[in-house]
Amino acid sequence: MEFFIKLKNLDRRWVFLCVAASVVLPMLLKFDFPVFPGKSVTNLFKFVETLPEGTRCFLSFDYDPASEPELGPSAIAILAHMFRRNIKPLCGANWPLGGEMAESALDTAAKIYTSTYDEMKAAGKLAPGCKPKLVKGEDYVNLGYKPGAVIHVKALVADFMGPYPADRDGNSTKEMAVFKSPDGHKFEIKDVGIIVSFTAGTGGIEAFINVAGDHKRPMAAGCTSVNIPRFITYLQTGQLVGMTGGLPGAAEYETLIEYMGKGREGMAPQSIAHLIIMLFIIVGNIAYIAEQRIAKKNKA
Amino acid sequence: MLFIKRTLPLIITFITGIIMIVAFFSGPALPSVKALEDTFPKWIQIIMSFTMLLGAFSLLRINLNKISRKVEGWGYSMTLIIGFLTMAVLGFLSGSWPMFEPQVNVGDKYWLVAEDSMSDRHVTVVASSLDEEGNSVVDVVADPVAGQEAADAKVVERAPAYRLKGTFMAWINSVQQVLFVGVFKSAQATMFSLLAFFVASASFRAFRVKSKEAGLLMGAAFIVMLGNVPIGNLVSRVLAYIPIIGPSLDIALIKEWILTYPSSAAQSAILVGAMLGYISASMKIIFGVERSHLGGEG
Repeated sequence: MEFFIKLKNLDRRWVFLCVAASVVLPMLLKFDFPVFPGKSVTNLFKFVETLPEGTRCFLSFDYDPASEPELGPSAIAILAHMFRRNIKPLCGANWPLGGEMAESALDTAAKIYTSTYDEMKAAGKLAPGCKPKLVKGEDYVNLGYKPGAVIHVKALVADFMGPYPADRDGNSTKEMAVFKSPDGHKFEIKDVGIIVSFTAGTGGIEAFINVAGDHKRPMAAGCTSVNIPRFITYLQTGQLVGMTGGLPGAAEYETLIEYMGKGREGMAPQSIAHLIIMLFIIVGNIAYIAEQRIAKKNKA
Repeated sequence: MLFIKRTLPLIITFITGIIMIVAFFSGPALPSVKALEDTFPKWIQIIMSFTMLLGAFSLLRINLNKISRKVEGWGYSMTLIIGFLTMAVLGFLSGSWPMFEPQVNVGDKYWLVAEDSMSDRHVTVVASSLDEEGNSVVDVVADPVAGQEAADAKVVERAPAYRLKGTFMAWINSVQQVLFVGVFKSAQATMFSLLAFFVASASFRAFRVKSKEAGLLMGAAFIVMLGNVPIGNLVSRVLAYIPIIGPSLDIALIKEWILTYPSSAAQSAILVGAMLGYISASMKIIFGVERSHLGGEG
């Protein structure tokens, strides 16, 4: 009893130390836990698999560096998968720093694609039209940030190319190969195979859901763990075809594309950290019960 | 003056609000209203770009005021101003570099910035041309560096001309990237990561099962926490050894059920409630009942 009462008054620095150790040690010892993809991640993966080669998809990077460790791995895994299926990502952003986030995710995904090209080709896991090297403006484009969130999405519905006369680097989008259609028609939102938003808070996937009646495109989300309960409603109603939730979602997608990235690497520290937090809650409650009993005894 | 400050904004709000509502419900039945609805987003985007500028000036004004009056914590304002101006100046210079750079000349040496802007290499331009899309491209040869084989150094690489920078602009780009990635990005990620420590400490001290409801909450929290990470699968495998009920105790499936049904039902109710409130607040603004956005009391 006394031991638990002492534990209750444990200096919080010990708690911090335990959490730090639970994150650092699994990384140093390179623990690995098997990851089993869940339904929402598998549905998104399967949807991307069924998109025809050359389909343009709109990926919105609606997060900033604070959420990058959680959302970046999802974005990278989905981009790498799209490159392997010869699907062309058009990246935009509803958050001011989203353009920077997209740039770094595109760069990493392109590196994964080129470094695994031969291996994937030999295994027959690349779409027939895949080339060894990706070209900016032809295979993908980073359109950068535009203000307005839902208003911006409405503008895209009215005229997709209107808000994007140039990409993030200032290159004109008018003659870009990625926007050219075989029959010569001007690129419109209806040419987008799927809209994926990597959402850290407001102005993300909900901006696209709000005007879904106008654009009528399938949608998916990558969200932070705290947002899963909020966005799972849209999965249940069928408004989203799939979702990658937090780092575990990224790890599941990485498993599906057979790539060991930051998501899977992060599963061991996250698993142990969750266990440690649960352990602290249990210990705190045992101490609380012990304290109640002592108080009752003293009263009697 | 009162007309410009109060009445005119109210009239504009009323007219635009009504147009948007009519356009939404009429759809293609009223083409002229629909055309206005398609034009409004462009106007709003332009106005929003100006509001960012206004926000920046307002931030500067408030903090400069604090510094001049030496109010408590004026040092933080000073740090903010220095950070703000440094990043703004570097960003403007970096983004508008073609204005500061001479034309690319064949035979000259430049810095070739990597696509992610994170690194650069010293190169010599051997040819300059236009690609199929009319963009300026250059063929470059990397200058030899210590330890690099001579054959590697002679490989001709094609790159967009905008990635070539002179020494000054390459330096500006490097400083901006160091500050953005090394300071801003790392600091933001660190602040967010600190949450884990505070959540652990707070849950240890405050998460007490004082009632049945709290017990239910803790049970659901444990299942979701376990089901969200791979270790939940290992726990399920151990639980499967329990006779009769063991095999049905799949943590990941139970987590999925909790999130998809009870949690989602509560979320939907909250969303519907929030949206009703949103509609009510919008109507109050459109009809001029709520005027706090015009400044002063509402």
